[in-house]
Amino acid sequence: MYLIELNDIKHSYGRGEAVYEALRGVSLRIEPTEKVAIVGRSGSGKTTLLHILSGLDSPTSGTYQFEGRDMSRMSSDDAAELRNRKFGIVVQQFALIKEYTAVENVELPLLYRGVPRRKAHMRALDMLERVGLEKMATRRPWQLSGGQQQRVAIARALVNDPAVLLADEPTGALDQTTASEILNLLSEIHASGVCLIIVTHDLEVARFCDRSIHMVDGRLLSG
Amino acid sequence: MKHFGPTRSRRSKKFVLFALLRQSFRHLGISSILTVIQLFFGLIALLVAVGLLFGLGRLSDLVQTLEPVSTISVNVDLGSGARSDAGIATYRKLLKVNGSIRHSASVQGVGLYFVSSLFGFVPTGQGSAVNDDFKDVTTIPVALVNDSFAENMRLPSTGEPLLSSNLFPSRRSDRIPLWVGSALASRYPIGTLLTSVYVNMPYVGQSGKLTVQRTPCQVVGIIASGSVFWASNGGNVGPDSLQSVSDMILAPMTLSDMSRDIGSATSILSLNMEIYPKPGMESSARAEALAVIRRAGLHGEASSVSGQLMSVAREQRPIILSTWLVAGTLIVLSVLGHISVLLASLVKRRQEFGIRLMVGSKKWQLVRLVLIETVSLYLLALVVPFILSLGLSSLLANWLILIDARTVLIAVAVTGGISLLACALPMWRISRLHVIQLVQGE
Repeated sequence: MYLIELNDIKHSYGRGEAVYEALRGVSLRIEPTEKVAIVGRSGSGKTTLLHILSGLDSPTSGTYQFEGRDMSRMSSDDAAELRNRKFGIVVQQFALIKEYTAVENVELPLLYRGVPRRKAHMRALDMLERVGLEKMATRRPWQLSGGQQQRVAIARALVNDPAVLLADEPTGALDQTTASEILNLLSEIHASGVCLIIVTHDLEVARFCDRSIHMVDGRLLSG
Repeated sequence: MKHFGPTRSRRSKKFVLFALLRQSFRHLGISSILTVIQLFFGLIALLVAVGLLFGLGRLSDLVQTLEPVSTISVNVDLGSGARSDAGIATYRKLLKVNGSIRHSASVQGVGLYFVSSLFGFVPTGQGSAVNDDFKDVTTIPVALVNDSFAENMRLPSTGEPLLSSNLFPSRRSDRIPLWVGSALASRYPIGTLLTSVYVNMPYVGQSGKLTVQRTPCQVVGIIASGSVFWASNGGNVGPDSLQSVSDMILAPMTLSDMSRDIGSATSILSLNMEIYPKPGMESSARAEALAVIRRAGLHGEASSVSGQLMSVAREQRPIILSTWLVAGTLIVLSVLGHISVLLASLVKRRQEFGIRLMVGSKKWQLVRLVLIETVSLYLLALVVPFILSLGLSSLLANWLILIDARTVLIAVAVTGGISLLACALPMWRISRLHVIQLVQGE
């Protein structure tokens, strides 16, 4: 059984004459152990596809099966719960709450899962240790470098032990050295059994994955 | 990778409010403090306004309660001695005000005894009565009469100045009883009697240089002097005491009768009465009392308790209106401030909300978060005024502002409702947020 199975997914924004079709019939299957890169230029629809994969957005038409469950017809609350348990999401601008410390940011998914605060805190510290930031736990995002912030974001994405890690331009805001370190970290994560889907326009990053899916104008060219 | 299962348990409830407040302040910063201050003053103003309203409500209740036994206060300014007779007549007429079931009265007067003028002081008389029973009549020297006063006064019979040499025997030994009597008069009632009798004796008999015809008034004067002693000797002097007191007032007047031409030898300064009309006859009794005063050509007023209370209520009305205005303005400002702070925080926290949704928060959990933060701030803004109101209650009671549990509850309920309404708009905005827009920070 595929972990992810998309059939003729279409997605459009706006109404009337201002409708913009971001996805024009995307069909895709991804295995649980894959490391996939979705590559395309800006505006090709790759980020929209990532949002639909994570349940942050719903397709206008088509079906989306995740572990055999139809996510395209799921309520927003059910999708939120599934996202919390099965998906880890990393975005280009790190998306950390700046009023929270690193460890508080990492705790957040656990708290929404209902894990007690003390236990969540210990687990978050473990995750920070895994990404090499155990000494930065009490620092706030603005006290960290870009690479460190992305590590915190990765720790948060992994803290609930997800089945899939979705990364949208994870190295887009980092220098080459730091980007390389982040990719190595993602590789380790994939090696531990997590499906990795990276959305990028960087072909170097795409080469890092086992499979590349190219998108142009909301359609898949290969994959 | 180590796996943590989906263990569900309840979060610790310890210091939940503190944690929420901390979180609210962390996100809202200085704006939340301003909101708290606005709410604080709004609540205080509302407390005062509601307290005033209840205070006047209580006043109104009190008036309703007192209505059956309401009192008409009559205050008549009698002025000079020439009005004394009018005062007495008025007093007697007021006693007969239709519908009155009970009276109490007090009079104040100054009687210029000739003897007193010689020794340089003027005794004043004051008495009080409930219905027919005058209980307390005293005579005390209070004012000095200077020489110029005596010199300007002319005796009607001879046209000579009102000097001791013209009034009484010039021999010092003859004056001794007067001195003793006047001295005693200032301390003991017996002194009043002795002085009065001795002073009036010359008019009854031979008065040395001064020849005055015997008149019935002089006899009345002697009797009145006794009455003064009798009345001042304490208390209830029986069913005829009303007449006795009238005589007490008349006694110096009788003397002044003799010396009317030399000016106001005697005056009753004021007459104060309380008339208790029968239920339902308050208005007519008051009108009648006023008519009596007017007919006598005197200056006076007759006001009912309810009228006085209504007058207080009228005086309070601008204060109440202005307090409501202030309270309303503060509350509106508070609500606007609250909404603006919450909306501003919503804009500021868009990305945070997006992040929360991204990591698994449901929309209702976000709405709950904002609601709890709002309520936490409101509770904080509530605690201080609540404590203050307890201290304020006794202070404000002096201005008819009653702050009791009901007032506090109403103020709390109103501001609480407003606070919740204030966060309705931000919560509605949250429920319509699109995750993608939030995550992308649009």
